Amino acid sequence: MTVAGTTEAAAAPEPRVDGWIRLVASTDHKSLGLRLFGLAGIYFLAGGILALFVRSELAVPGMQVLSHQEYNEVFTMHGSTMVYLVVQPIALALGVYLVPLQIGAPDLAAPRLALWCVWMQLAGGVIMYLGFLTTHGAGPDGWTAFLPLSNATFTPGTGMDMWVLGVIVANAGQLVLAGVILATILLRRAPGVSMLRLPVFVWTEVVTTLMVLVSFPALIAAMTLIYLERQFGWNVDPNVYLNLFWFYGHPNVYVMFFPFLGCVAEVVAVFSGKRFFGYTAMVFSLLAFAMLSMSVWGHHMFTTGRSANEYFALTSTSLAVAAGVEYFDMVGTMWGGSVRLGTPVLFALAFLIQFLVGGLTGIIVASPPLDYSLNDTYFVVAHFHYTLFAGSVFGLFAGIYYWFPKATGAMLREGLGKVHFALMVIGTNLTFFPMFILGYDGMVRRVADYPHRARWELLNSLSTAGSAIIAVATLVFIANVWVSLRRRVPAGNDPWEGHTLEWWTTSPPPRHNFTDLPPIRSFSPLLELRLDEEPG
Amino acid sequence: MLAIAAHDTAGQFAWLWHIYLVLTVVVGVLVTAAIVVAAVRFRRRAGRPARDLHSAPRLEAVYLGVIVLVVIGLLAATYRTENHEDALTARPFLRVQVTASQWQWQFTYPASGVRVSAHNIGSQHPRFADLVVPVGRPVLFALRSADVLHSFFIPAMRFKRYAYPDSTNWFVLTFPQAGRMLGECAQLCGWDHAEMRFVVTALPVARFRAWLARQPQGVPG
Repeated sequence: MTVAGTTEAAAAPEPRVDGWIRLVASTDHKSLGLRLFGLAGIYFLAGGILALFVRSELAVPGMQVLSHQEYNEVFTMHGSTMVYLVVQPIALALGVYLVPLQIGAPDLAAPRLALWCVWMQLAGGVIMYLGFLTTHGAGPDGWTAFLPLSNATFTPGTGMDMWVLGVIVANAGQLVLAGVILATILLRRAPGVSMLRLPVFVWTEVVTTLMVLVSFPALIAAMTLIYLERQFGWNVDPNVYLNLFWFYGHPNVYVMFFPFLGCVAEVVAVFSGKRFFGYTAMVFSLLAFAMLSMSVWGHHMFTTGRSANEYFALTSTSLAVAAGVEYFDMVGTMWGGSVRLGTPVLFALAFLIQFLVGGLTGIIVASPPLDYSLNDTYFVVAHFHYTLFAGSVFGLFAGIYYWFPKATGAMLREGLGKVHFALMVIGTNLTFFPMFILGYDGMVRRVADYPHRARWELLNSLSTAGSAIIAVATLVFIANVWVSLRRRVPAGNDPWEGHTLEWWTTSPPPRHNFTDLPPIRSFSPLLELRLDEEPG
Repeated sequence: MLAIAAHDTAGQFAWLWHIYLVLTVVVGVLVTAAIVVAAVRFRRRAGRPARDLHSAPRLEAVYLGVIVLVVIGLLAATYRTENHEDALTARPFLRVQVTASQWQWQFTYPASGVRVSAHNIGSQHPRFADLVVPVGRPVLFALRSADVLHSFFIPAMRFKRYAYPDSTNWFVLTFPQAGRMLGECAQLCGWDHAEMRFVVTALPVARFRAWLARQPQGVPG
């Protein structure tokens, strides 16, 4: 549709490419980013439907909807979908779409490698899901798949093999993609864009891709060990697997957090009409956070009796210092500003408050004696859903409402956006807050059934009701996208008075992004330009 | 603190939990208030442009100093509690060998040659294995798995530990009062993980001795 508009200009001699070829083979970073987004969106709906199955089974005690085996497959696929196929790839897809635009580059550093990663993403997910068609069903051992449970004796069947291979394929793609994004940031910055003039979002991508490069190989090694034990009779020490897996697993939770923090930072700054507060402190806190994140994995193993608990409690609790900088800078950015309360900033503020719940309960479970009670209970489930869903997904929606006009040229509807936001806040807290109490009471995770107790039944049915509200909220969002694309409200180049280079070019940007660039003297060049123009 | 026995993990947990909970709520309320106040007080109004306030290094340093102090305080409380809970007592009153396997628990009292177990796989009304322990005396547990990873969890005691197939985990618990408690497997261990429960019965010492004497003996320790 955009092609039809530009043919009139007839200036570009670029050959017209058919839609489906572009879908298969385009190496334009914007198209790559949107395809990664589209794939992750489909996986998100699939993982969400699985979550609704989980919540339906747990609404009341006893077995109603699923068998034990089916339940294990469903929650395993829910978790592995959301981690491996949704939040991780979206964290990188945001970088694929936005990094070249924000650093004034025409494209990624290695676009064909990035294209390969999109296909790995599709293949990995399809392989994992095809497991449902095998005799023993899909992988049933949780997204963590600890050995020896995941070996061929205790989990026979091709479905589990396919799960292992799918996880390797998807994550290998993401590993390479992270390298492409980091290389782009290091090598493709426009003249004037020094490292300390990178927008905050780009800095979050720097630390994210660094963590991916260091930690994902450990996951691929761990999955390979499962495969060797399943197929070639290796006998892997269970503790070696645990360490390898969590060496990936903990940096990874910040991979699934930082880019969304970056979205929120951009939204909060632009909607406050101010440059980001404490930029240098933020950059160094991100780097410190990333370094520290490599030395906290053992807090997943406090209850194994085989972990250096005091050390990992020290490193994990210290993360509060780095996180404190981020909160200080967010509040500082709004302070003295002129804050517009549009949908993007509402999601950003909810991100900050709800992630705070996730972060503070993270400090609680970073204390080994408290974790002796809370580990492997619903308290932990509540904690990481507050960080990943109430946090990262809200940050993602802040970013979507903010950059949708740039990517499509059309504004999302503000009214539907606010309905979406209200339903999301209610649904999210209703679903996940009761889980804190369930976990404190000792309800363990990954169970299809639980003992009859009036309090547990009430809390579980509240949680299930909340999940239905989230489902409705998601439909409202899909309707918003549909309506906004059908009856377009044109966005123009810069609907929000943006600060960074992507708002300099057209919406959507042309094939190589820019025909010219403004002078770049800071991390918010467009804001500088506006301040220079205004007298006083 | 003096009143809590070192291995009364429930009492130890309660002491530490209240410190963390109060602090979490206070910090949560303060930060939320700061966010809401900033957003509302500085919302866009005609004739009030944004001030270019873009860093406050001294205030930020003081703020970070406060966080560091709080972190040190929390860690001190955590280490103190953990040292109590993790220490192995020199003279336990009793030793119990716990064996976890898919999907049942087995409790052996090696000094008396007593073994308690119950099969509950797929049963409509499973009879869970009963772990009987004395009140107020340190019990030394030796925990092991016969197959995959499990986790021995007594919610009321606020304590759990992994069971490995290739090594034994030792720990001491002192049950503070008599009563019956739920025990669960906390680590996903296959299809019947949800039903892998057990019952804990804590008895006064005299009644515990009587119970032990009534059990069929002869299991080799």
